[in-house]
Amino acid sequence: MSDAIIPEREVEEQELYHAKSWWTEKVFSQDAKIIGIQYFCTATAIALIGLVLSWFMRMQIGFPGLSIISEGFYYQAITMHGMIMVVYFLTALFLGGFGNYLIPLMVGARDMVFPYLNMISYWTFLLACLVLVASFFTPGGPTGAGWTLYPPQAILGGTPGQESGIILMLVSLSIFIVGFTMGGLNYIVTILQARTRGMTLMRMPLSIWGIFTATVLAMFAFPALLVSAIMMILDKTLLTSFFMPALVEMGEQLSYGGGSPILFQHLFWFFGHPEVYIVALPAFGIVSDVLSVHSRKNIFGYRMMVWAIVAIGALSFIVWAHHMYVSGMHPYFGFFFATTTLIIAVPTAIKVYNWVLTMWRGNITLTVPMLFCISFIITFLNGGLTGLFLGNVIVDVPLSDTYFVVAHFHMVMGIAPVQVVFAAIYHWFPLMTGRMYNETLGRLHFWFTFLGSYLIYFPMHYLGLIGVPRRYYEMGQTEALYTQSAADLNVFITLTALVTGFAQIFFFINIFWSRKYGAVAEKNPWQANSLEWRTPSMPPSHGNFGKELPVVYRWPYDFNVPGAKDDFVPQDVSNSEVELAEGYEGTEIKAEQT
Amino acid sequence: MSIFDTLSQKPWLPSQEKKDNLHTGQSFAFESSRVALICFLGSITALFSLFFVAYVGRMAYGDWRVLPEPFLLWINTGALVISSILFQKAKNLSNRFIFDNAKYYLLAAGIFAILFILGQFRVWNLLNSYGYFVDSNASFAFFYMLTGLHMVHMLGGLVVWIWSISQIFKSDLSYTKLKSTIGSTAIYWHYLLVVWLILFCLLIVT
Repeated sequence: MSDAIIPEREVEEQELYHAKSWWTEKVFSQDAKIIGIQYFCTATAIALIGLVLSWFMRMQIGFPGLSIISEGFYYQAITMHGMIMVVYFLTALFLGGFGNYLIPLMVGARDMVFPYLNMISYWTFLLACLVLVASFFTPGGPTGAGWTLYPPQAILGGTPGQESGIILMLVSLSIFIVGFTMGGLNYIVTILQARTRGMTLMRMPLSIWGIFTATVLAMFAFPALLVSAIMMILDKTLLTSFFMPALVEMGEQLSYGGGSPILFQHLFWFFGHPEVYIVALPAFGIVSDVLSVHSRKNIFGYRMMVWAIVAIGALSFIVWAHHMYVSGMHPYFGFFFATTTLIIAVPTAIKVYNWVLTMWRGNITLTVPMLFCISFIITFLNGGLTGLFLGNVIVDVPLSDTYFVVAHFHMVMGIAPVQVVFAAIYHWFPLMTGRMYNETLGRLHFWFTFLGSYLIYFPMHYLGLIGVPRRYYEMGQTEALYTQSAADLNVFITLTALVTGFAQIFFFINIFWSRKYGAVAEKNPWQANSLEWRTPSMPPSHGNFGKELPVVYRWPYDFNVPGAKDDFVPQDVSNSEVELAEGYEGTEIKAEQT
Repeated sequence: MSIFDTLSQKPWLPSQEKKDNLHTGQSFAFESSRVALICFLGSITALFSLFFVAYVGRMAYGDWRVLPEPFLLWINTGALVISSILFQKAKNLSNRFIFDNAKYYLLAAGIFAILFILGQFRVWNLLNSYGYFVDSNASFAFFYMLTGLHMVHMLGGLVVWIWSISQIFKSDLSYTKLKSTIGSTAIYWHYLLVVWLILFCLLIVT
C-alpha cells in the first residue's frame, strides 16, 4: 500500500437526507435501496399481467377451436404483452431496480447523488404503469397494434383500441421516458462522481459497467421513442400527417396525406434496437459478477469485457434497420445493416467466451444463482446464433413474420435476461433481506424455468422453418400449409407454457417465505469481494456504510490470490491487512501478474 | 485523462494499484449538478436532432408546402438573444458573489424569455388567422410542434428561474447553491437559444 496522501475531493461529500416520518421513510422514500425495491415490486406486478396475457395467447394458438378469446383481444394481448415485458418489466427492473439497489452500494456511496429526483423518477414510472393498465378499462380496450405500434394501422379503424387505447399507450410511454430520464441522470452522475476513494472506473464491478453503459444508451435511444410517440399522438388527435399517407377507409377518403410510415419505423427501431442492449448490458454485467463469485475465479479478460460492453453500446446505434429488411429498402442499405449486425456479434461472442473461460478450471459451486447464470449462457448463445441467421437479409426475408423470429427474440431478450433477473435476485437475496432463500424451492424453480422455457421456444424454430406465420389468431384458409404436426407442436408448447408459468409460484413462495422464515444469512455468504457485501449491517441500513466510507484497494475479482489465507480478498482490504497463508509470513501478497 | 487511457488500465497490476489507490473516486472535478446538466443536454440534443432528421426526411415528400415567416419571429429571436446575454451577465456577477446587481439582470433575463414565449404564441395566432392550421400540411405541423416543444423546455428553465428569483431576493441566501444554480441555468438558457437558432434557420432555409 502506498503511503502517499490521497488528494482531497474537489466536491464535498453531500449531506444525507434523513426521513422524518413513516411516510417519507417507507413510501415516499429517497433511499435508493427502497426505491430499488419499489421498482422491483412494480415491475414484477406488471410482468405478471404480461404473463397472464401470454397464457391467453397460447391457449388460443394451442386450441383455436375453443375460441377462448376474441380476435381483437388476441391482438391486444400480443401488444400489451410485448410492451409490458420489454419496457415496463425488463428495462425498469434492470435499471430502476438493480440500478438503484446496486449502484450506491457497489461504488461505495451513501446514496444516489440526487435522492429527491430519484424518488420522483419512481413515482413517474408508477404513473406510467397505471396509465398503461388504465387502457384495459377504456372503451375499445388497450391498443392491439402490435408492440411496434406501426402506423397507419395503429390509429386506423379495425385495429382494436384505436379509440383511446393507442393514445394511452403513447402517453404512458412518454411518461415512462420522462421518469426514466430523471433516474438515468442519477445513475450516470452517481457512477461518475460519487465513487468512494480508490474506486477507479476500471475497478468497478462489471455489473456497474453494464448498468452505466445501458443508461447512457437509454438516454440517447429513448428520445427516438419520444419523438415517434409525440408525432403519432398528433397524427391521431390533431390529424397531422407525419406518418399517415393518403388513405381511404370504408370507402371514405381520410384527411391524411403524404405522411411516411417508414419514417416511423426508422425512429421506432432507432430506439428499439438499442433497447435490446439496454436490457442485455446490465444482464451481461450481472452475469459476469455472479459467475466470477460462484466460480471462485477472477473474471476472464476484465478489460476485454469492459471494451465489449462499450463497443456493443456504440454499435447498437447503427444496426436498427435490420428490423426492417422487408420494408422495401434499397439492397445496399440492407447490405450495410447486415454487415454491422455481423460485426456486433464479435464483442458479444468475446463475452460468451470469457464467461466460459471464467468457469474453466474454477472452483464452481452450483448454487441457484450459478445455475441460472449457466443456463443464461446456453440460452443466450442459442438466441444469439439465430440472430446471425436473421441478421442476413437473404435468410431474414423468408423467415420474417414466422415463428422463427418469435423463437429468436424470446430466447435472446426474453428468457436470457429473465434468467439473469432470477440469478441476481437469488444472489443478492441475502443482502436485501438478511436471510437465505430455500435451496430446494430455488432448484425446483430453476429446473422448471430452464427446461420449460427451452421446451417452449426451441420447437418454435421448427414451426418457423416450415413457415408457420406469427400474429395469426387462427390459421383458417391457410390450413393446407399448417400441418397436423405443427398443430400438435403448438398444443405441446401451450401446455408447457402454462406449466412453466405456474411454476413461477415456487419463486414467489420462496421469496415471501424466506424473507420472514429463511435461515438468517451470515455476513457475506458468498464470500464475494465487492463493496455491497462489506456493509456493517445486512440488509444495509440507511446511508449504507458506517461512519467512514470504505476505501478501495483492489478490483473486485481477487479470488484465490497466491499467498492469501482466504480464497477471496475484498476490495476494501489493503495488502497489509490481508491474512497470509502458512509459509507466506513476512511477505506481502502480489496481485496477479497477468 | 482520456477515455482511452482509462479503458487501457490494468487494475490487477501492482504498478497500477499504486496509482489507483490515490484516486479520489470522482471522474470530473466539478459539481455533480453540472455533470447532470451536461448529460441532460446530451439527451435533449438527441431528441431535437431526431426531430430535425424527421423534418428533413419528411420534407422530401411531394406534398411539402412552404410556411411564411412572419417578421415577429425575428423580434422574438432578438428577445431570446437579449435574454441569453442578460443571463450571462447575471451569471458573471453571481460568480463573483455580487448578487445585489445580479438579481436585476436575472429578473430582466426571465422577463425577456417570457416575452419570447408570448411572442411565439402570437406567431401561432397569426399563422392560424392566415389559415395555416396544424393539420393542413406537415410543414405547418412541424412548425407548431417544434416551437411548442421548445417552449415547453423554456418553461422548464423558467421554473428554475422562479426558484432562483425567490432565493436571490431573500436576505439569508445560500450563496454557493444559488451561484451553481444560476450558472447551470445560464448554460441551459444558451443551449435553448442555440436550439432555437437552428430551428429558425431550418425554417428560413426550407
